[in-house]
Amino acid sequence: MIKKIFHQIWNERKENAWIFFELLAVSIFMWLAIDPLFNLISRDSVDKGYDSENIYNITFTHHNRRSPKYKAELDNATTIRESYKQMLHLIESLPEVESYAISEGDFPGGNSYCSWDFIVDSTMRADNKEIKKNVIFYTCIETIESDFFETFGIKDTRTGEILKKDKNGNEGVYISKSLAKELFDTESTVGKSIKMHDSDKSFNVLGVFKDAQPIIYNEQGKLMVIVRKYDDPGSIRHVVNNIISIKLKDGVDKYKFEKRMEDEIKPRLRAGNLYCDRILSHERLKNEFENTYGIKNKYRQNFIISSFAILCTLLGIIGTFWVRVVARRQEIGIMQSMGATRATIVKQFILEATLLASIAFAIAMPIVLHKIYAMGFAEPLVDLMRVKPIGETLAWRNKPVPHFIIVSAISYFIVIVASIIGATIPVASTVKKEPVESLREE
Amino acid sequence: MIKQFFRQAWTMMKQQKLFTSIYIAGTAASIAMAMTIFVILYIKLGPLYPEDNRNKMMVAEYIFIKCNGHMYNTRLNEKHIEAIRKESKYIKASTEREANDRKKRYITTADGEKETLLVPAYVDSHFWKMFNFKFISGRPFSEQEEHSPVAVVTASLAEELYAGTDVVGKDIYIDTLRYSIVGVVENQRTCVENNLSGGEIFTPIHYSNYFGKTDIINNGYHRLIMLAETPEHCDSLRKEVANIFGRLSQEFGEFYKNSGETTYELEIKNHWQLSLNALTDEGFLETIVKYLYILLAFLFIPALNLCGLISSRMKSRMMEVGVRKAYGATNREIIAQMLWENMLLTLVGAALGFILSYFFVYKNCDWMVTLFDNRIMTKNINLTADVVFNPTIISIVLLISFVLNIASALLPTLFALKRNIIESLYHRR
Repeated sequence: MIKKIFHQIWNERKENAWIFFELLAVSIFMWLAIDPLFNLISRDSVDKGYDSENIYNITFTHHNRRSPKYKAELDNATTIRESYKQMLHLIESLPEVESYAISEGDFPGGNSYCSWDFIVDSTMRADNKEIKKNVIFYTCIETIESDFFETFGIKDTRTGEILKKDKNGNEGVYISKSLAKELFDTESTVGKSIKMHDSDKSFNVLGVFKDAQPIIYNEQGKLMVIVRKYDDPGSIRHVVNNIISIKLKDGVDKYKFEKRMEDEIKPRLRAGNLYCDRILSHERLKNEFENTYGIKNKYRQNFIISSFAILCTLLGIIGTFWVRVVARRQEIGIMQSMGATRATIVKQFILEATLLASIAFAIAMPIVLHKIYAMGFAEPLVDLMRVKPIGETLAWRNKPVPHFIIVSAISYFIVIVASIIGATIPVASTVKKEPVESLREE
Repeated sequence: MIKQFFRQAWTMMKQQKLFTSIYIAGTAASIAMAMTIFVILYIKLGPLYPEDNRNKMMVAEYIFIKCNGHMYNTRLNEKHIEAIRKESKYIKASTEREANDRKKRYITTADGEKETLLVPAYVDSHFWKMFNFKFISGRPFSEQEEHSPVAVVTASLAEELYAGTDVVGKDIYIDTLRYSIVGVVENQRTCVENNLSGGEIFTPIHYSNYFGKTDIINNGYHRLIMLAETPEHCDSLRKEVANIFGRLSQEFGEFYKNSGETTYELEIKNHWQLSLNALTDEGFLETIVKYLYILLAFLFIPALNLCGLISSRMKSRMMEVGVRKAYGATNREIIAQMLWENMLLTLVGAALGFILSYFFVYKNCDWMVTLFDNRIMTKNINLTADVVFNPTIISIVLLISFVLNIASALLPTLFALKRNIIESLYHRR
């Protein structure tokens, strides 16, 4: 059957040439449009290493000195400390809140990160070599009630359970598994110390957790969490930079909670010159990131190009096969009168379209490979943000070979489905006719 | 003869409904997509109110600092801007605009009844000379008022908050700070990421949280928008400002001096470079080529589509061609007939395409016109029908579409006409 169809395609090569070139162009454009979409979706779905469900982030600000609501007498360390405490108590007391964490600016699931050089002394390593590494870190501030690890569901590599914060409330660092291996050559690093470059400050390692995604839309990477004791905010700048992340209890209606927060709680989160600026869910924060860095536009651009290519393929195949089926009505009539079923005839035309699309796709692939060789895979985040991606642990699907295979498979599937639908519509409507009608029309 | 061709084409359209529908749908989709791209490019590059002088406009904002293999960037500060303005001979007009703060603020009526969330624009008084804003009521704020809490709002914001544009003299809050409205301007027709005149509420730059915040390393937060005398003077202006900045960069403080050899470069962009996110060393053509990939997809694939369709149809019309040839029709006449048939279909497709583009761009303008931007602005999209249906854009798109459609019809027709009369008549068997 396939040999016969190959003959058929070859015999009509002049008529097939146009649709073939169209399928070739569509295959290339489709691949190039799917590549960045795959990159974004794949990066968005890497194992984050933390929990972002049911998390809300609360930011604060203060009345501007020129504002009529600004009160100079309240602009002092003691009042600010009291104001901040009052608001923390209110948040703690909310019945919907399971746990909360205070971070200095950057936090898991956020869109920014902080990095600094850290030094591990030669005495801490088996090979007696001092090591210096630039490390991405979050800084969390622990009160008696707050729990950074519980709020974000960060797990201990040894037990697989949520990391326990230091019972004595000591300051220190928690590091991710691969960072521990790189810095100390071992995962058993609890009790060892690490020093900040250009500073006398050193920290004891308090625990090791799974590698995590430092900022959204990036691979997993080496990460550190610096735990500081609750440092009463002595300056406005300090408080404004702090973010309180709250985790809701299971079963809490998010819609009702958001409404209550906006209508009831936010107006109460005011004390002294401080007031609550925004309460944002993780999803909204991600949405803002996608808007800000053009990710949403990238999705839209490539979705429009793919849809347009599919539409053209459909129209092209429908048109070509319609003309072809009309021209071969006599042949169809004879085949039907000889006992061929409708399904057999439709199958023959579908196979013809499938083979044509497959050959075009196969020829498109070397062109695509040449593009990859010359320019690499699409890196939409690099194009948009003009920074290299952070996070070193590539998910399997983001490695070059699986990446190419998956994107090719998706593109091929779309082109083939469009071709099959395009061929089925005109053929199915023609074979509905009785053989005698088809033969008489001729 | 042409009347005859059209009659024939009309009969063919009625007889071959599927072919006609596919042809028209393909052409319409192609024209709608091409229109969308051209409208987006026109909004980015064309002379649109109030940015009538885009071809003479230049922008200086980012300073790139290379130090020990590391790259840092900051923006111009007030001192740089003051010095550049003072020393430059090529700057005909200029304005300073705060560029760092993109945080949305609550804009509230004085009675607190209505509020909206948007990013205020902090500008100096020269802003009103730089852009040709049309004042519906009131006036711009003056140099003397740069330290006073005054504001100019757009008609859309006035309508949203006060249900009318007669708001001069009324008070308005930005977060918690009270301003007095001194003027109302017509809405801008520009709405792209880097539009220089954008904003819905304009207040003096001194009220920006970042004004006067220049620190020890001379970090700045501002953008300098400059107007050259003529478009030809833009390059001279760029060189002159770069030279002035070269001297100023020596004042960058001690912070980087201790870190080794440090270089400073001020990025000065033409308006089109800013609008198309082009690099300063990229020419117009190199930048436009980036968009051509998409345009090519939208035009090239449908053109191949039409070629395929017409080629398949020509095969079934070979007998007709043979008979016409046998009765003395020349190749030229047969080609003319095919082209007129396609012309009619293209016209119908084009009409449908323009209607579709209306829905694509005009009805979805809040996201469609920002499709190529890195930042999506969901507010302040004031696209008017005269921008979407600009005669220049329509003519360009129609021309491209006709050329492509004629080429799509011509090639298969020429191939078909290579056969002689006997072959054509034999084909029917």
